Amino acid sequence: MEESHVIQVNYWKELHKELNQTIGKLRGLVLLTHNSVELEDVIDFLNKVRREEFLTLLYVSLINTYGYINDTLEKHPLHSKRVFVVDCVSRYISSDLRDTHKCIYRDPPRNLDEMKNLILEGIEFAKPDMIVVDSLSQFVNFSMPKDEDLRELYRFLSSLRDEVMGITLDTVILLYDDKLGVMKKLPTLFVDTILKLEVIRESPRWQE
Amino acid sequence: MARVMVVDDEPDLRNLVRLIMEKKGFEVETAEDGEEFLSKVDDFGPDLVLLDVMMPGPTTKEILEKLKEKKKRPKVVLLTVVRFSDEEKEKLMKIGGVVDYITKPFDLQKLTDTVSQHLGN
Repeated sequence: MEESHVIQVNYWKELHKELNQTIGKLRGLVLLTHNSVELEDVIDFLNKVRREEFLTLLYVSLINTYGYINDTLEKHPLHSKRVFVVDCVSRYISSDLRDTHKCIYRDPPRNLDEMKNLILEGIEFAKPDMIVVDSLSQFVNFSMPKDEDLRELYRFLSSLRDEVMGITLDTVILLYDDKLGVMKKLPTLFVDTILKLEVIRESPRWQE
Repeated sequence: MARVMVVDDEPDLRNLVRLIMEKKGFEVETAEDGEEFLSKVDDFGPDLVLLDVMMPGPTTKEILEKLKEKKKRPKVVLLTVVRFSDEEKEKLMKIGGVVDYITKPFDLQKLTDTVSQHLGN
């Protein structure tokens, strides 16, 4: 039997009592790992972030179309936040799309360098206080990390801090779908906060 | 024997779906993108196409419009990680051919059930 090696040890702190305070004041470079594919769960989370402030939010979407985001926001409004979108999926479906004052349509980034350029374009477009990137899972898999992907990720995270974040834009939230598997490598040194969003759904008992 | 075509740019997923469809008794052909699909579709003549939405090359709308011109028009099930609005779904439905959507990551049982349902097996 081959000897196994410890790759990483994570200590998790149960934060329920402090959670509202932590999320309520959330700033910096944040990795939000989650097990949900539902946008409404992300919206619920964002509603808890600095809810006393009126913020402009740029949502860079690699999964949800602008139409879907709009529909979801109508049912689950995002309070005290003005939302602009960079839609990187709709061009897969149709090429006749025109930018609006709330959304620009772009081709999906092929790597994290292109993602950074897309974010910089989005900043010109929306002048946001906060950016949400949905999602990092398209570029890196923390359960089967390749050295090359991790190096690219670390370079990307450093460039976000050096070239993207500033006095006004002080919060970047990177979503990561942890259903890809156990996260062996997390970029702990390169982000300010790592949060885990766990959504548990169950059918009502009467449906069984 | 019903014919199913699997169009996806992820080789692992494409091969997995191919194996499952073959095991179900379908005759299967694959393509790695929209261009390859359109070049093969006339010869193979599928009854149903499992079509990934996020692929390089022609857009989903362009592929569906090309299918509209075919004599034998297959049913299309879209495989996608993309979340669409109802209006966007309707627009694709209007072009024709699309009979269902399966959201990735999908349950293999759901995939076979959906294919069987639309092929009347």
